[in-house]
Amino acid sequence: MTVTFPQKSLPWLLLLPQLLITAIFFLWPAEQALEQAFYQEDAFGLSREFVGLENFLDLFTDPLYYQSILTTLVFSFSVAIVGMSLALLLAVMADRVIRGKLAYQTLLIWPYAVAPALAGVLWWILFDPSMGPIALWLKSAGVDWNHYLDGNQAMILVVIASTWKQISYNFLFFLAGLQAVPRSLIEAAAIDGASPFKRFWTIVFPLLSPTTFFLLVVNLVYAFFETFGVIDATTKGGPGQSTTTLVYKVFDDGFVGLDLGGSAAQSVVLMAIVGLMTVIQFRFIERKVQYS
Amino acid sequence: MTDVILEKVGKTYPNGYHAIPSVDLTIEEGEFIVLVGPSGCGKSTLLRMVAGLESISTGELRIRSERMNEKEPAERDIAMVFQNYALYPHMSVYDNMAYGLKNRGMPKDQIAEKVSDVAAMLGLTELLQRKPRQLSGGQRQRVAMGRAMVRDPKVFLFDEPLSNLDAKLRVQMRVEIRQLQRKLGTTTLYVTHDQVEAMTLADRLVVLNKGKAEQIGTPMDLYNKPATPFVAAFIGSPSMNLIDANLTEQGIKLSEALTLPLSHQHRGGIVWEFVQSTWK
Amino acid sequence: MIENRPWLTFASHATLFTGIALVALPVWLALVASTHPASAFGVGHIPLWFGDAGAETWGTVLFEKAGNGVDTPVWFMMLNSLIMALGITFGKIAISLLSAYAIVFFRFPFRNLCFWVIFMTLMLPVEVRIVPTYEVVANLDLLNSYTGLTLPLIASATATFLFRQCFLSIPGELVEAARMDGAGPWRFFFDILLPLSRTNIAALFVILFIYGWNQYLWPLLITTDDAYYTLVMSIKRMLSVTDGDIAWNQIMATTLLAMLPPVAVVIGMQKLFVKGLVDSEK
Repeated sequence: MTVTFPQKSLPWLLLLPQLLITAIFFLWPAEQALEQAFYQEDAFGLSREFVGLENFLDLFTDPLYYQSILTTLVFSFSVAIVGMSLALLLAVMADRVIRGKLAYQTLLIWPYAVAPALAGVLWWILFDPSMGPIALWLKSAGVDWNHYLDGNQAMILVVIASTWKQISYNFLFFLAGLQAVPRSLIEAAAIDGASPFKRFWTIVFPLLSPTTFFLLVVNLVYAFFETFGVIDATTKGGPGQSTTTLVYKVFDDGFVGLDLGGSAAQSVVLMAIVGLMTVIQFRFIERKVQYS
Repeated sequence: MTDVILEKVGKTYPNGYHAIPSVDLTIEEGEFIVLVGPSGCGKSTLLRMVAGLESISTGELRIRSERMNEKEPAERDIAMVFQNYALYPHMSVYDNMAYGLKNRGMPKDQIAEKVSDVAAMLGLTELLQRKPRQLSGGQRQRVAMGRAMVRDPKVFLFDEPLSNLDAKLRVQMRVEIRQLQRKLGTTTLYVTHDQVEAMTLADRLVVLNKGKAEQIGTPMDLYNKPATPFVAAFIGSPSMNLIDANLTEQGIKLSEALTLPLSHQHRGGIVWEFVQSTWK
Repeated sequence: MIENRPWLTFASHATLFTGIALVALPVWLALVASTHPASAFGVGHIPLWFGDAGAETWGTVLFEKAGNGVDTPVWFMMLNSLIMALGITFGKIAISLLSAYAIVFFRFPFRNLCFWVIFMTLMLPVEVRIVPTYEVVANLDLLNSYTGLTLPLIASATATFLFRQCFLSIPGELVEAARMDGAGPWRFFFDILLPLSRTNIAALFVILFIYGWNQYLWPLLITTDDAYYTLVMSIKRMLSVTDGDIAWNQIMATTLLAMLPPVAVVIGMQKLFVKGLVDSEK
């Protein structure tokens, strides 16, 4: 854009609200986290002492932290892969049907609007060991379901609840991606004698790869940061530490454990991770823009 | 009475690019001046400098003897018709035409009167409540002109206004623009790259090449007596043939084998033109 | 597709039906559960068909008391949720419109720096810096207030980027025409820019409303006073009572009521919602 207004002070006035809020609620807390990460504070906040890198050293020698990293990775990739596979299946089917496409879309996208915490509660009751229909059905099938005690089962529960909410998002983007595949390519493949199944794997799926990659990143970000409510409402990170993701641990150590220095050090590490992910996301988006 | 004066007007971009070295032009009141040249010759830049959309690096612009260099576009009492019309897509034809008047604080009833007068003149009366997207290319073009006309500006500026129309409509609109301009008697500065358009519309033409005015004159001047080979090549359709030749005692020598003999009288004329063009 | 294979079409519809049924399953169960008295739970199974206590449960949670652990009725918390959601939505849209306008249509020193400062907020979701942000808000004495609920969540890089993109697509000639018509920066903003960004604003509104309504951790931390409870976070309070006192029928009814407004917005404004999702990921 080359056309601009000549005023010099007005733009500052326009930016002021955004900059002010950013400074007070983003930069200041971030700076405090950074500072706190180098201090040890007693539980009452009465005194604190400078400890240098000790909080970080503690963090990186703590086996629980590594376990939390592993939990986060297992959780995030499970959510991303399960959610994307199911959504792709549904999107391919929805792309095939001629009648009722919009109705199907409507009936599949609404879970996006459900708060993560509520999604957790809804699935919890289905899987409640003493009264949940699915848990009881599993029991009768010989699976002893109790996510209060079994860490793996707790993980499965939070993955299901988180995935359920995210399927709608993946579905919409996959459907849009499928509809953008040029008809002529599929027709050409059909004339070349490829079956519908083969056409999908050799033509359509490769063409969807930008969408797939984009969704992978978005899903990982979602599983990292937006599933706090699911975990907090269902397992509270337990049993043991089996569903304590990195983000949950920041909260848990800070507000429940009152280890402010440790929590701050974790915040700093997380900020670095988010920064990295944002850069990756933007790199990808730049590329997408160039291609389109 | 002189209306617009460009005195040694030049443009240098912040990156150091010297778009227009220096242009001198004096426009009489009511004159229709066309700036013509190949793309990238600086004709649009010059127009936008008059409009106030680009700053003037050197020299001075005066409209009715008042210095304009530092004035905002809205304060220069000019109106402009853009290449893509730049109609406000969310406003009706009426609102598009009335917007500038509203911003100047004209009372509502006067605006209504003014707009309906101009609309009648342009045959837009039936279309006043439509949105721009519901109009054809020619109709949009008319609305863009109407928006300029309601303001009664001292100067009309046109930036390739017909380049988005099909050939037939272009000829028709050309005639219409000329007639309207005669009727209103408003000084007009018109940019085009189409030399036919330039020749048919202009009282005087300015042929621009690489930011320099190669020649300023009436269409017939330019056609009969092009000042430079560039002008000669640019004006005229089919384009003029330029052949290297030597002028000798025998006539014009095209090659060893072919010499065109000339009468004395003709020779004088050619020598004059020749001398003139070498001097430039 | 190209050829007509009836069995394939059938399989597609069947898969989609299964998908829809699975997606709807938990909500169905919640709906059924909310129609039974509290005593029907904990006897080994959840009933799978509607009971007859529906009207009573829904009436109680809506108008009297949402459930054990929360003394306020749902309608009241709905109001709080609405205030928070709309506060966040309008706030984000307003400040993002202004800052995008400044960045696109003006040239001033440190323009790029400002852009990057806003960009950085993208890297700092509230969950990541939760402890220090809480401290800042506590220091500013904003706990248990609507300001505290909304203001810290208002800064938005996403919305600013979206509007920036939208403004950049407005043809320069239109801006020039407006300047010739004597429109200054404010007039241009209100007469031209806002009307032209209408659909973008509406689409973003849908997305942000859902975002605001579904806030969980933040209201949970900064509200301890019933008067500021929002609907989504109240579930947590109801789940925090001792096991025997969890009133599942009421929790289910409250959960359904809590998801109703954003779900209704998504379904009712599907087109805008889809546009908003696609736009905000650009």
